[in-house]
Amino acid sequence: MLFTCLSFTAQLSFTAQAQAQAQAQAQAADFNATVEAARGQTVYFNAWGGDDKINDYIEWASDELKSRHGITVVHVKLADTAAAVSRILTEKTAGRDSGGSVDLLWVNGENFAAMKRNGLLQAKAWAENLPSWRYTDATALPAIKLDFAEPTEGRESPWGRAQLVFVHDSARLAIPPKNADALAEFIRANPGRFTYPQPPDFVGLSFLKQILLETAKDTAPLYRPAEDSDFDAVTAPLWDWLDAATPNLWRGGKAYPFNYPTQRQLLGDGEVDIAIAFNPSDASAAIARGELPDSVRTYIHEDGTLANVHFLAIPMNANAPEGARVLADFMLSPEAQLLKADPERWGDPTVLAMHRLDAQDRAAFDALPRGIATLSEAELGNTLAEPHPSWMAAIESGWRQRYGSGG
Amino acid sequence: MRAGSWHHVAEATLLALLVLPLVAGFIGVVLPAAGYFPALGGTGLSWQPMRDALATPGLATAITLTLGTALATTALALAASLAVLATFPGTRAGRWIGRACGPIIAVPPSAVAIGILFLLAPSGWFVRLISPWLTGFDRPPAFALVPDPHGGALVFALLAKEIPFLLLVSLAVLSRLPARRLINAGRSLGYGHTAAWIYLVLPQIYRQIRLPLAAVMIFALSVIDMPRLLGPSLPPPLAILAVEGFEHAELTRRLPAAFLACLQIGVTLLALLIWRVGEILTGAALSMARRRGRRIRQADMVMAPVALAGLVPPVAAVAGLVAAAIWSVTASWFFPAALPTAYSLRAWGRIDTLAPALANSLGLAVAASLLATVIVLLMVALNDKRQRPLLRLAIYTPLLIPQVSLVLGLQAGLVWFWLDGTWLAMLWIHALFICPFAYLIIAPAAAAMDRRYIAVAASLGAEPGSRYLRVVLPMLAPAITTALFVGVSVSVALYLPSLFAGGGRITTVTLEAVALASGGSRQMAGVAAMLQLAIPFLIFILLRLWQHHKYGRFAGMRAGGLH
Repeated sequence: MLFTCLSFTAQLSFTAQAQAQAQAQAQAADFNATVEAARGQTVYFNAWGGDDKINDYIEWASDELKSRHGITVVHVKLADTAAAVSRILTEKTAGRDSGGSVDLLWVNGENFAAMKRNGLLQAKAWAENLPSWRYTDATALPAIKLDFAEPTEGRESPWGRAQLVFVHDSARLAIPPKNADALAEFIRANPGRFTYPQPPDFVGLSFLKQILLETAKDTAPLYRPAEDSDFDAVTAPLWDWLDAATPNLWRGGKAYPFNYPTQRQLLGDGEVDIAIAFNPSDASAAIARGELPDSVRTYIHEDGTLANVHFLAIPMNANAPEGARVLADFMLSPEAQLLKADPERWGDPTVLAMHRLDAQDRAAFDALPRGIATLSEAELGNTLAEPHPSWMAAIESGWRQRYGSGG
Repeated sequence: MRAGSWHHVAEATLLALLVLPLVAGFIGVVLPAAGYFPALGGTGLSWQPMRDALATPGLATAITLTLGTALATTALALAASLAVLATFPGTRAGRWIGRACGPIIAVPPSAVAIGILFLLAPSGWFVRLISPWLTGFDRPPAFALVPDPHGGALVFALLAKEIPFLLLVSLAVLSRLPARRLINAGRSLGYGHTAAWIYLVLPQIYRQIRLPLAAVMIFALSVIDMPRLLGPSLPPPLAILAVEGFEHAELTRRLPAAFLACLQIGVTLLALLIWRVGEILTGAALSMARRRGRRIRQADMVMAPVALAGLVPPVAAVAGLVAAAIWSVTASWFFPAALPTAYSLRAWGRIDTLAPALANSLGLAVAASLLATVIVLLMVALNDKRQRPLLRLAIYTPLLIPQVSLVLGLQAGLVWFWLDGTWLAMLWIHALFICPFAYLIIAPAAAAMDRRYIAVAASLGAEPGSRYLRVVLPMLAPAITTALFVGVSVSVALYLPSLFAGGGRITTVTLEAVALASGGSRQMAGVAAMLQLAIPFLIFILLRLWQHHKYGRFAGMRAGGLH
């Protein structure tokens, strides 16, 4: 009986395997056609350009695509991803359904949701047909199919993982505050030594969500659309926290840094004691570049910190959708993901599942240096899921109402 | 073709070139402001965008801030440049100041802003130089020096640009006035030097610099790149509020943002009105004082300190650029070290990433300046036959309408005609913004041209075409070289129009510099600021050499040359 059962299972798994193989072959053939069609195309890759090392990494990928597939990749450096979304919307208004100015867009959360809502994405699912998709595992990392609780529907391809970390200079602040209450106490005791990037900056808003998740009595409503709950009641703990903290923030809460690199500079200058990053190895890389002293370390809050996945999306009117898919596939390949995870290059954690990689690639990932200020995988393991994207806009407009005119 | 019909065709073409983008921009911003935006479901007219816009938190503060910084900039720049003009004429310092103005004007506003930030921020070079030995600071002071909540840093940085600009414009006017005779006449009636200058020379200069003054004010009202780096952000000036709304992830914010862009025009008119009232009151006070024969001896005491104070912002800008240069070769430089603790050329080694932007900026600047100069020469030739007020208004419009009101809507127009992100669009828009400056420089030179040379050429049997090429152009050459130089500086500095017309595809050094300055790396921001300077200076040197080589022998006939 047991034997039959086992052999049946084996057979079943064999059939499944054969099927998967056949499917993979068909997909590979499909994708070869895509690669052929993409040859000679120019892909306008719209991606936030505020960080040198990310820009360098994208340049490396561009060179690789040029030499391997004859695809020219142009990195359009955005100050704010929303600007590109806005441009696609303008094009849609003008009835431009093809030949758009954006081929591939680095996106997640709120911007993805806005694109989905306004019909700005490719209609057909494409991401799960990419050859490199087989290295991922959506069961182990559900966030690759669920972008801030918004189903991706295969219309964006995962690119990297991010986790909110706090950065402190151990020479000036030996024991950092590791939860929202301790942080509030720290701010009260050390006026002017804490701040966060000004919303709608992504990291700034993420910090607000982090505080809300830590202080809310019940976090369940945060994972449903904001319209479905009593916004004021759910967010009251956040506003209480901010009302108490704001007068003692850097510049008395009358000014905020533009973004996290600016705040990192403030930490380097010694104006503030804590910086925030959405990348666990950001501080190590900044030390290597001489922008932060080597006494800087990172930490996360005791209850965990926000973690999410960022993606690559193709707009509905992309001029080179084939080239965009080839680029997205390359970005998801073990080779590109390995380099991206290297703190010397970028230090962005991979979205690939280690058990889906071959032994050699796995060993290469294991051998990556971690950087002096980077926490271990185990220490980082404590994560909080992103709230529904609708909270982002709601919290931002609440913040603007309360603190947007300088108090 | 008859000459008359050629003129009509040329005028119509010029008008279309100049006016079409303005109309497109206007429509592109008025329709969404009135609620019409089909892609977001707005197919009818509605008041909602206006209501949303007026509910923007801090809107009143933003408007006050915008008005205050613009009026303060204009008034202070005027006072300082006139004081310099009254204090240093004919001295060696005066000549030196006049010569320094040109290059300072050519520095893009964003580079000035980066420099001021590096110099005057709490962690900036100035505080580092005097810390900790004088101040006792081992950490940057907590007060908001730059940026400050009241826009003072913004005004200071604007002054660094506008004082030299007004000074240069006024110097050109002054050179056509019999200033010495007027002052001597005043002195013979028993007035002091400064009093004679104020009563007799100043009104004549002022009358002729009102247009540049308006341009200064409108620029200050709608500039984006400087306040992004130096201005308050809670709330920011009105123009930035509009741009932020346009670029917001919540796409419906575009409609109220379009209304804010329209509101910017209203604020501009209000600012001009306030200025006009101030003009009338000051004029009345001045003529009353003159009628009563007041000697205003205190003026002598006030003038020199004001003139000296007026030199501070440009000098600070230059010092800031030195700080930027140092940052560009810095490996690490932590507060409060007065100088970097380690140097590195790493940032300069990454210049290849800025190479496309550099090439674009250079190509655009040269091509757009040439185009604008040709347009203006054509216009001057047309004006020669008959005044064309419509054309003149059209050419000045880009200077007189806040950029943000024009450019946000223009993007939609460009997309509509598949021109966004194309070289054609960039060239067109850049030329559009250069034209008014080129006209301001070339038109007076053409008017002041000694026509007897043309008559002599004609009497020697030269055809009209050959007269133009061999007599008129050489006589205008100094003005043309100045126009080309100013054109290059204007083009390199354009931020918002490049951002929107370039559609992200065509990047420029200024776009890169602003992105880098608000991002992480001071080293790269320093490099980008240096590159911003490189183009105008390269062109400046080339043009001077060319002018000297080619037209040196016409020196006696020159008008409106480089200083």
